[in-house]
Amino acid sequence: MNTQLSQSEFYILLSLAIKERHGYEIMKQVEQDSGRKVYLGPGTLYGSIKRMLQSELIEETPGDNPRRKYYTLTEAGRKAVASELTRYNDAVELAKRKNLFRNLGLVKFVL
Amino acid sequence: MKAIIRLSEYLYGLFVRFYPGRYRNEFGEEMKYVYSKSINEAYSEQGEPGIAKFWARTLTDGMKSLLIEHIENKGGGEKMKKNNGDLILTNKIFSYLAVGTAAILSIPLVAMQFTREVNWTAGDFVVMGTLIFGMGSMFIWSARRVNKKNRLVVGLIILAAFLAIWVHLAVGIVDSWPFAGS
Repeated sequence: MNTQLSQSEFYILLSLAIKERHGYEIMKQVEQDSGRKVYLGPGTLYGSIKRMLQSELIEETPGDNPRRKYYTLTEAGRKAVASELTRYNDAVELAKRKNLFRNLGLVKFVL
Repeated sequence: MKAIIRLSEYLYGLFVRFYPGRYRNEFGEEMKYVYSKSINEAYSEQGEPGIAKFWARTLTDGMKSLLIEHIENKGGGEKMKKNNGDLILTNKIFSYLAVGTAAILSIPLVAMQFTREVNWTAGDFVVMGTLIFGMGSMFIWSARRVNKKNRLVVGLIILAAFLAIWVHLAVGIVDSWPFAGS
């Protein structure tokens, strides 16, 4: 899988990995997951949703309210988020092995 | 509901109208819903300063996304169609077409340096460049609107039209037509 995800897309996929959500829920979850470091306004949120619908990483689930559509991960979306998480995990493992957290002054993150 | 919230929602509704039609039809109502929930929350948490702060963030976010959506819409990645790795549906195809046109035009340009048999004027380059790029664009435009298996037919028709125009410009197929043999 060679999907390039932006930071917003990664957090959106992460929020949908738990359950299907509508736009506002996604926005709140991303804010929470990122420790309020990532803010998605409606423009960025739906721009990302549009692109991920096009690349079939997410899909719309049937609903009865056009103002509150729900989105869920597709199989490709699951693979993309899993692949991204694995990449991050590998990087963290490497940093631990090389003692980079201590060398870079990030000791507080050492588990 | 506070008048300031109603006014904000109204103004955001106006702002959403500036998005490309197709995007607006698909996501406009959802965007307004998210905006409405967010501004109500900002007001309940921080009052009027919360609304001002939220507007500042929304405008930054909105202007950026407005620009992106218009660029993506205009380029003809054929709007909301799925690309699925199909080069014809991407904007990149026009870059390739421009490079291809330049490559073809470079043939007579190089030949002119070595032989007097080839003697193109600047006008010839402009006409041929326009013809190649125009026909190529016409093919892309048409190919995006037909099934993949019919693209070959479309390509052949456009190629035939291209050759007919070229031959007409070179030697004049019908003398009464404009630019015959020019």
